[in-house]
Amino acid sequence: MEKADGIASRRAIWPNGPLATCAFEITRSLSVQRIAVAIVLAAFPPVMMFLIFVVPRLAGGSVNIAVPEFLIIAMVSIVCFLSLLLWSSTIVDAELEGKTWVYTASRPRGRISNLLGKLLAAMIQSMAVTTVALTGSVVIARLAGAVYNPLHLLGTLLAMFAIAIVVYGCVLSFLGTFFFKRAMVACVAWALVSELFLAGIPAVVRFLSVRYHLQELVFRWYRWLFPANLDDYRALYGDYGIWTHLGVLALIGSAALAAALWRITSHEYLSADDS
Amino acid sequence: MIELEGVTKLYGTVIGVNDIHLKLGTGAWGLLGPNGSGKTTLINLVLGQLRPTLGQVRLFGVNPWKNSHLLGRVGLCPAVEPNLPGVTARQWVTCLTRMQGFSAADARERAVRALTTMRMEQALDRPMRDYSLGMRQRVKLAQAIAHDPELLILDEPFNGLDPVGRFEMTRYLLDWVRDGRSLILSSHVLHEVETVQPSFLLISGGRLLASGSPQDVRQMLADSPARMTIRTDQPQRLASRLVTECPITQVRIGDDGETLEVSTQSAAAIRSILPVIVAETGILVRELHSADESLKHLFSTLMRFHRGES
Repeated sequence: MEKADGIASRRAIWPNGPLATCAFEITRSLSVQRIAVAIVLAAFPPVMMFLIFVVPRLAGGSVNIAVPEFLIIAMVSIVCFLSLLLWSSTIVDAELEGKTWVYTASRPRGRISNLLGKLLAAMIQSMAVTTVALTGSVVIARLAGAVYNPLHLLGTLLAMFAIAIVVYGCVLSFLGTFFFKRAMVACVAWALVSELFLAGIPAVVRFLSVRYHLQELVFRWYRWLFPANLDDYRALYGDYGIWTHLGVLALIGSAALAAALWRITSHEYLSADDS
Repeated sequence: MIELEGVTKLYGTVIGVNDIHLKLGTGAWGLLGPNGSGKTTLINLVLGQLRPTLGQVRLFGVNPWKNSHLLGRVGLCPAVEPNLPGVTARQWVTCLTRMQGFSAADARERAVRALTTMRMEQALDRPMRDYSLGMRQRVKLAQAIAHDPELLILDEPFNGLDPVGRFEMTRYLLDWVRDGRSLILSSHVLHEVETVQPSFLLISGGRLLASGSPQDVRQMLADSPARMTIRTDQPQRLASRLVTECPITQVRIGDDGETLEVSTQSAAAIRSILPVIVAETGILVRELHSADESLKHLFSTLMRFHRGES
């Protein structure tokens, strides 16, 4: 017993557990199938930008889009969200489907290691895909003469997407631990209600959405004002500082992660084979 | 090592295990029961993967549901086959060993050592989809032993193993027990468990039917309803004496005219009275065959008793 306790005390579940899971998931993601999915996701926005901005010019026409940056943000957002949807919402479900849950959960603090490790892997993969998609889109938009300060745009959006991936990753993994059998459906439903509907309501309730805060950060960092008049802008979007938005995003992400950790350690997840 | 007090687990309205009282010390234990009898539920309760609906579970003296660090002292080889087609045994076992808290280098070394012990050294870096069922079984066992646990829990470990694989697995498990470490071997196939010579737990319909050494259960069975077959030269005379002197529930004389089949409330009573009858009457008893002659018969008799078919 003493010997065993001694061995156990020399072990460090943290950070080895989450790092082991993360490294394993990253290694698994290097399969042909998953690389193909990542390439398709990362290529979608640049290809669309090419079709929208470059092809018409090559055909001798002209392109007149008021705010091409919005197009970039919209398309890369879709890719970013899809990537997170694929990897972070299915943390529990993929383990149960793959019949690996019992192996990881029967490790010391294995459920926590599983959640944190897979979430970290999902964030890394999503950031990689998003970075490629965003960079490709900005480069093509610049080559087409659609944006004039590409480095500033790229820096701003990379920062915004990095924050988005962390917060959305936590929220989607939280939803995935609660609605693990219909994780993707639950996440899409949440996105439609919160990020499309709630974020657009000009009232305090939009504070609960992630998109409102991200949008505000981009507007302030990129010095966009829509409408251009500052008073009108404040009347529409409120007058909160950058730190307020960052603080609320940190709060949403932390609360979601804490709820996910509580759920994953307190719920009995069983596949049909286990019972 | 393991203690269950009045443990019941319900899945909605379905009973997983029902009012189990159990105390297991160190050593080898065979968990026997038909498919769907509650073996895996019991294992999941012991490992803290399930919370009992009623009762208390203690592993190494504490509640495993709230103390998952205990799992560092346990190695589990589940019955389920992981679906990891593109992953190699080295990658998987290393990951699971590292999750036990070992550094990356330590985990790699331990994983290779465990896989080598399981004679998988030639296939370390092949994707697991290319493995035979027996090879996958060995990999599953390797991930259970790589962190050198005190207690090894194996759920149907002989599935898919060829005769050589079964022999090697048995030898390994016997060595494991001889080293003073503990083992719980769950199976629905009796002879697989018998080979490791454990004390055993017999479970069916979520209820623990019997536990202890084979001798303990035989003793319990001797005082329980049993069916006995006696070959004698005077079955009718013997039957009449037994009926008057023992708690007999049913007597049947076989078609050969030499066999007496007796169902009794107490096999021990028959065993004690039979020599007296023989001595007094001179009846020749050629053979006495009772259902507790082998572990297999113990198992089937207890199952019959449990089903109310005694």
